[in-house]
Amino acid sequence: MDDKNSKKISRRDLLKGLATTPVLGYFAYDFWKKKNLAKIKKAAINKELGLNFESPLVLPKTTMKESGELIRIGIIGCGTRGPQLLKAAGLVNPAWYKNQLKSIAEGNKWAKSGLEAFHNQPDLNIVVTGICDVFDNNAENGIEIASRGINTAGNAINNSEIKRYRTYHELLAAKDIDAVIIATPDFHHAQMTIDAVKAGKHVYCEKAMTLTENEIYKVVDAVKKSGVVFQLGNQNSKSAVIKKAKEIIDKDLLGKVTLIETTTNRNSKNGAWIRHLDGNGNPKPGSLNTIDWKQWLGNTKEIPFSLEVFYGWARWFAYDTGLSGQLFSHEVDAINQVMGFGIPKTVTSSGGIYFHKEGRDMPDTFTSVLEFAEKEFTMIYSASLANSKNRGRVFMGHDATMEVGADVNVIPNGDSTRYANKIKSGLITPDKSLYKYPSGGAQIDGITSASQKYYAERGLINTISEGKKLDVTHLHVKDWLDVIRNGGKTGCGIEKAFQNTVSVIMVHKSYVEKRTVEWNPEKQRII
Amino acid sequence: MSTNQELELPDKNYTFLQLAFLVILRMFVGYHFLYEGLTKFFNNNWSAEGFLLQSEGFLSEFFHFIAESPDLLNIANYLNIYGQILIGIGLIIGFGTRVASWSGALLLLLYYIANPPSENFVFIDRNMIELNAMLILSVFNTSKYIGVDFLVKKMRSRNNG
Repeated sequence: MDDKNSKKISRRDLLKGLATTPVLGYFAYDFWKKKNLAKIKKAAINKELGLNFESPLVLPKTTMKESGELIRIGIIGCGTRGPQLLKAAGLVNPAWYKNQLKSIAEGNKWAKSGLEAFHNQPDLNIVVTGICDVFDNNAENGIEIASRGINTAGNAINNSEIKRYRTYHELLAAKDIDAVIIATPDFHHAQMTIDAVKAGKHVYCEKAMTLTENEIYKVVDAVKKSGVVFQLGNQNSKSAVIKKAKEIIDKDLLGKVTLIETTTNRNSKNGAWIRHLDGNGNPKPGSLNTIDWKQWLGNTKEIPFSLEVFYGWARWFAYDTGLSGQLFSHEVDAINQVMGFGIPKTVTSSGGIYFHKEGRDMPDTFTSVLEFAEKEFTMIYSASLANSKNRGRVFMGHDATMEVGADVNVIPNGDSTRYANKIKSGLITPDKSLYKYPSGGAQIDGITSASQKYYAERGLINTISEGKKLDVTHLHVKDWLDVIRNGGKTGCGIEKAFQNTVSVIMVHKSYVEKRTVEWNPEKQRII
Repeated sequence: MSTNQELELPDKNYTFLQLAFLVILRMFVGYHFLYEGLTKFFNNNWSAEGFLLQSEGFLSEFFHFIAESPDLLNIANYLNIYGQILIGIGLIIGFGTRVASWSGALLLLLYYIANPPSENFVFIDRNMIELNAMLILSVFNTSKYIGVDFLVKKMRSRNNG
């Protein structure tokens, strides 16, 4: 032992031993102060905003009853979107399901998240009794799902009632079908909807509803006369994020909103609707032997069979309204729900084909300015199919900015009038997030393809309903079935569908006719 | 042990300023650790999951594996929270300082490996600097002179005597 260390503990020793201990006391004070300040700040902000972090109800309470009687469904069009809608209704292809389980075992998070949302779905008490698709492969896939598919409990079903129909007219004539889901290429939607409601079937129709202005009035008229339950496939209306954004606008937390910017950025071939080749560059299946080409063309001009057109029809204006019908339709629906604007006063679109020069009508670079002169704001939609930056959806108000994508983020402005005092006192920091929902930000799970990422970032895939992760499309289908059983109004019924489709057609018409188009509310016509 | 004792510098070999700055460094690092630990402790939603999942370094698969196993993740969370709190208190009051600083260095090494600075070519980041501070504290042990360790040693030698 060291000589210098005497055996007795002196006062000096005690001082040396405990010299740094008081730092703990100071730490406690410092920590408490910071924690308390953060708490006070948060409470003050929440009081100021009048917002909470609870998930809003995404389905109306009145329709949230247990599923009643069995509904018999017919599917018209079972290519890409058809099976997705069947999944939303509670049935998936058994081979696909097995594959997903395998991917999950290999650690694929996207598959895990997708299947988790599927298993969370309640049983909707439906049976698929009819399938109509002009392509044999699609029809066979539909029959497989409808007859031996896997349900949300993970069990294989056994349904022998399923029938394939060669034309949709035959399907509509079937007595054992109560309701139809239309997921064909866009140019068929209007006529099919009109025929379906005339046959007394309830209709879930994918967007876009029509290709032309005239068709809008015919569809609206037919649906209103028929009294069937109609739902347009704008599933955004079931997103908790959109509901939260609406709450924020209703509480006037952004101040006067004068500019809204919404965007599409995709940079893959799939995202630009070049879809007739598989991953290895080989043509996808389909030939004149397996595809009823004449029926596929419908009333459009007769052209020789083309796999490129069959898979990538959205690129030509004979079959679609391009970016407007495909993606702007989701944007206008989301923003119309938040702002409740109805129909724009004027629309001016422009753009060009600057990148994908393989021969198409749809511009790959596109901008549309929607003027809401009476409501005093402008909405700009701009799209690029040659760049993948996520530019989000931004509401610009005098007091704050709101970004709405997979989550909602409110960012106060430094020059805000409403928050001036709070900014001065340090309670609110300009340009820093004031409120975020879901708190901590949305979890975008591991995602496999660029287009899937696009849909997830725009809140078009999963949402939270009553604490559970669910596919928004499932909620949208459920909403439709609930209203068929219990009455009420669907989230995107014929009035909303009318407003959204008029906007879509205005955006498209302005691009095609190279002029500013105007909505005349008295005449209820685009001029 | 004997080598260690040979390395232990006698009191007079630290000048007052050397000792003072080393003790201040010890308190600062301890303060930071305690703050990080307590913040996690009071934040009910905190989990190492996100940090581990973001891991990009050469051991990233190992860290992902921890994040994806609920049991291992739980252990990692406990070790982080209570590890940081205990290391922080240890360094501040000078109790078990050598163990505290070595384990602090180990934790920081794990943080560094899990998320090395990859965006640019500078491999020195805050974790690396704090890790080096921990190593300095573990070889220049100050708690033998200023800190509870000094008292413990004193009491032991009295009892032994």
